[in-house]
Amino acid sequence: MPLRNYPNWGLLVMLELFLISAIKIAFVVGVALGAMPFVVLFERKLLGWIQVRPGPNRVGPWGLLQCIVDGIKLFFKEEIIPDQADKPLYLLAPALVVIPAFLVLAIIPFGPTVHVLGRDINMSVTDLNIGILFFFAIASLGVYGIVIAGWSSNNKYSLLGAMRSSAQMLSYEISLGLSVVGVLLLAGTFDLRTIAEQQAGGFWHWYIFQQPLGFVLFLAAGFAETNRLPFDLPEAETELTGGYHTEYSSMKFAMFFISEYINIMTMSAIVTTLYLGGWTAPIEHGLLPPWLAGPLWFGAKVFVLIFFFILIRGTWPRLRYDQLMAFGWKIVLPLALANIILTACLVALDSPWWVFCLAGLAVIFVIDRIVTMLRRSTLRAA
Amino acid sequence: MPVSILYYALFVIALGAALMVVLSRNTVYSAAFLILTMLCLAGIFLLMHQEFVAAIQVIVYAGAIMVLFLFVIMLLNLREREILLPDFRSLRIWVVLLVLVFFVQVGATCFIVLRQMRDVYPPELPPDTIPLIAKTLLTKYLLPFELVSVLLVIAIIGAAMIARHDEPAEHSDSS
Repeated sequence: MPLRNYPNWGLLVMLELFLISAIKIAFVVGVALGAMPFVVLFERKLLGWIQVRPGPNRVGPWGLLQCIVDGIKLFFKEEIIPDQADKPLYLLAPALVVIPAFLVLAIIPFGPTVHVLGRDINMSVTDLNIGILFFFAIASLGVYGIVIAGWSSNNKYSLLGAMRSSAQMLSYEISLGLSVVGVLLLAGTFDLRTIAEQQAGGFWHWYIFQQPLGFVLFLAAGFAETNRLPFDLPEAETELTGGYHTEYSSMKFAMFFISEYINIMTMSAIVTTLYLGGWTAPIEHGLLPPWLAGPLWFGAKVFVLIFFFILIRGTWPRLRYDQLMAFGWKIVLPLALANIILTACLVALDSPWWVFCLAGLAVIFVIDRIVTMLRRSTLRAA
Repeated sequence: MPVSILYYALFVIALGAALMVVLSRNTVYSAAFLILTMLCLAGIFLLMHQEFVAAIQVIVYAGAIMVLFLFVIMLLNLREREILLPDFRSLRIWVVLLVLVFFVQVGATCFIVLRQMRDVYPPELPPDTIPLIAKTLLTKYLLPFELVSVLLVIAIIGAAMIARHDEPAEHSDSS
């Protein structure tokens, strides 16, 4: 984190820092890439069960090798570049999607500070004092890969997908940024490690209980930001034959695919860190050493969120484009602003945590009633 | 030393990309190079230990404004030959005036910055500049801050009013 100290450090210290960072990066990228095929398999299995069919079950026991076979297939597939495509940008786009997806992994704290060989080592690639802002900065760059892919393919479906995605991601980025301000007001820092540490000591310290409204809004905006159902309009297979990556084949398609799942994992990890206590245990226990318990709890929470992502995909229909925009601008954004004002007032009044909780839940309830009433009245009018 | 090499590399890339913005014939490439310029500026801010400014630079300029630019360019989907430059001759006086104002601004900024740099370099900064920025923005510079917000709101309303003109026709189309 302290970039300013670099020039004063000796060569050995630099080397040590480099080694430690390299190990951490290898670990994080390895875990993310290693877990990704199983997330895909899990998603396909779960979707299968939701739709009363077995899901992949041909390759390996329980279909476990399906994703590996798929990977090999993608490797050996013919690579087709459209004749009229804008070649430099067409080739650049998959990289522009993958790089931001992996960059965000760098700031996720997946465990506490541990002592190894007399050193304090933070279990995260790096701890930035602008942590959550870095996430927003990189997330906002993720849209370029999609937009440029869609434009350079010279295909109307790709272009439509790209335009949908740029409009969607711009709209929901604002809500994403605003809905997190409640947590930042409570935490008083951008640093993700500090935010996670503040939630230690039992699940009732988690920010989800002080920020129920913020949590719901962040999750909704997060779904839109990762282009997942019910917000998967940039892809929309049934309308756009795949959207922005229609013209991509072989490993280039695989890169879009990988980055989508990495994005889901990082989004789940960020939600875990902000609202679900990060690596801290729900109930304090001394059963496992902290260097093991931290990552395990973190992984478990991330898994629950990924499960939720898939469950939503299996059970919700896709929003229509105007519904998507109306939901983003007329419901999520005003509520995020209301959440900021509410939280700011309660922080200024120095309220206990259950006041935050009740206030947030009350707002959710009232909005739910209003929306239901409005929908009923429009249905009756129609 | 490595840090100053990074500085110069970023400066060179930023300037080169800025040049390419003007020289590219394809508007999408211009926008892409402008994004690169923004990112290089963010990197320079980062090397100056202004992490917050760097993040905001990326979020606002590279992440939001340039996406809008690209959106508009793609929506029009201009090909090289279709780009029509407006006739600048009737606006000659304004062009000259604007260029003058621009150079005066750049000169003044350079003068102020260089004078400050001579006084304290490298500038002494607290380890975490975010609270400092927040405090100055909401106390010393509260009025300009609010005025800029009002200006932005006015701009948004103006844009919405201009866009509203042909809305009824669009509505009948979509329904």
